[in-house]
Amino acid sequence: MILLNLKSMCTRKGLSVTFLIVFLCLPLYPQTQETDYYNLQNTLKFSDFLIRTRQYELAAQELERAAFLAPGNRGVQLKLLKTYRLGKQYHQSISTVERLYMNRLMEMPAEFGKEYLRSLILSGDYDRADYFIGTAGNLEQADRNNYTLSILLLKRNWEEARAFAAENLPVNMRLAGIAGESESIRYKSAGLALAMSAIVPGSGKIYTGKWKDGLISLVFVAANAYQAYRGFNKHGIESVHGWVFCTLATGFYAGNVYGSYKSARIYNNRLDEALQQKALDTFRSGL
Amino acid sequence: MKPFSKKHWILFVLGSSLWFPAAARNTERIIALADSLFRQERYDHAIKEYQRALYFNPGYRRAHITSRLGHTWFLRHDYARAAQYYDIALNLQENDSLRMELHFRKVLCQMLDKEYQFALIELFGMPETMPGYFRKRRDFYLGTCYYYLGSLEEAALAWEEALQDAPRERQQALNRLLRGRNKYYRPNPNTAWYLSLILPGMGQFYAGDIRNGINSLVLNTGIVYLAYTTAINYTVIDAVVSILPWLQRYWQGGFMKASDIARRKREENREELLMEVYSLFEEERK
Repeated sequence: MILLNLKSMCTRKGLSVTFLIVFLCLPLYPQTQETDYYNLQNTLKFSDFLIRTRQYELAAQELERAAFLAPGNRGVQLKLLKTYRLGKQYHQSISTVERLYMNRLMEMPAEFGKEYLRSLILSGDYDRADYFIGTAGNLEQADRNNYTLSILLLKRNWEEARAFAAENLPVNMRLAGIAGESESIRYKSAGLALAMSAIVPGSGKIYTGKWKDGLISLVFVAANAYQAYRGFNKHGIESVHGWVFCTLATGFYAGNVYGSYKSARIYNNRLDEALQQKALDTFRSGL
Repeated sequence: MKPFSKKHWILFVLGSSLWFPAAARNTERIIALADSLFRQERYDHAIKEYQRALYFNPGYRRAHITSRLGHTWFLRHDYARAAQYYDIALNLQENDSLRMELHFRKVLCQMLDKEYQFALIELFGMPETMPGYFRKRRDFYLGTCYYYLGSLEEAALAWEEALQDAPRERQQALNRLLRGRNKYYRPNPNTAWYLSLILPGMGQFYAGDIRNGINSLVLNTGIVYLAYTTAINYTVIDAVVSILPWLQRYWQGGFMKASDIARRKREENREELLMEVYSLFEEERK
């Protein structure tokens, strides 16, 4: 229609006006085209923005739609899995992989396999992760080694981790370093702490580093035991005073013996936890 | 034919319509969807759609979108993010009343986030002269910030200022609540501490915790009785050596606990008092 009008308007006088209008308006034509903000390209752009601003849950919703719009697009699927993992939605990530590679989990590409393993390990499902490492067809040997070593470290199997790092190469140096560090851990023997407190009240606690608690326990038990002794010595076995202090001393003594045992376990657990956290941080930062 | 004929006009109008880009139409649709989700209280989805509109067309109705994002985060109890968006929105808003409203919402978010010092800075930054409603609101917020920062005197002054146009009985009610002996300072944790030091359990009774008071009193009386019998039957040194550690443990524990109980109770009283003050302002608003 516009073209027809142009034809009729192409008189000598009208030509310049027509030309002016067309000249001004034509460059604007492209922006009349509808932009679909929900199409694949824009969805991916927006999901990138959400990931950058750490809104992982919202980003995952966008990527789910992107995966629906582009079925079979591995890049989108992989980004979705990664977003689930970053948003700590490990089970969603695992179930998405299992949905995508139903009945052929072992044949999935290496990148998917690694993402699947990361989610399994971070969700604490070490047995399934172990099984997958052993059976997956497309994982490289270095990846198999790194993930196996990570599992051993996160399970606090220090000795096995050290042996594995020594025997299997190549392996991530940071993980191998953590495995090596475990050798220098000096544990406190819970049995020894218990025995020490049984012989000298409070000494087990001093052994585990709680010297203040240990000294107080020693004074308490000694003072009450001495009073019980004085009571029985003065009034014989029927001494109420003796029985009261005997009960107090026994209660405190038993509590202290058990407390020393527990204190050693807590001490050891703290050492293990620190190293496990280091392994977890290394694992999270990427192998 | 005239140089600017009827057909030229048609061409001009059609051409001009190109100036309103399709992007704006699309963004408008996204905003409409987000507004609808907001009304349906589906805040997660609304947040996403508002952000989409802002991301793809950053300059389009930015004031509306950022203020809505502020409201949405506010309703999701993420006050830090809400304050952030209110801040952007108030700088974009041209309408004075709306800008003021957004400013107050930002301050409210800071208060809910327990950032009373920052809220005070914002309140002091507001214009000196403002309509009565906003002035009262500013004074009420000022009072609340001072109240939570532990200055009842300044809180009272700000609230009195806010109620200066209120009926006399309401001003008197506020005065009764805040002046003289009031819940703000009671029970005093130091008093509870000293009372329990003098007589175990007294501090707990003073703070209104009868059960813990009886417990402390009975336990410490038992220990003192045991010390007494030990001193009578044996020697004072025996009593001191064997009983003192127990007494020290439970007695000291008792007065420390009395102080904690009083502090907790005082917090509850302060919340109650603030609610009573708030109800005065609510009546005033009606």
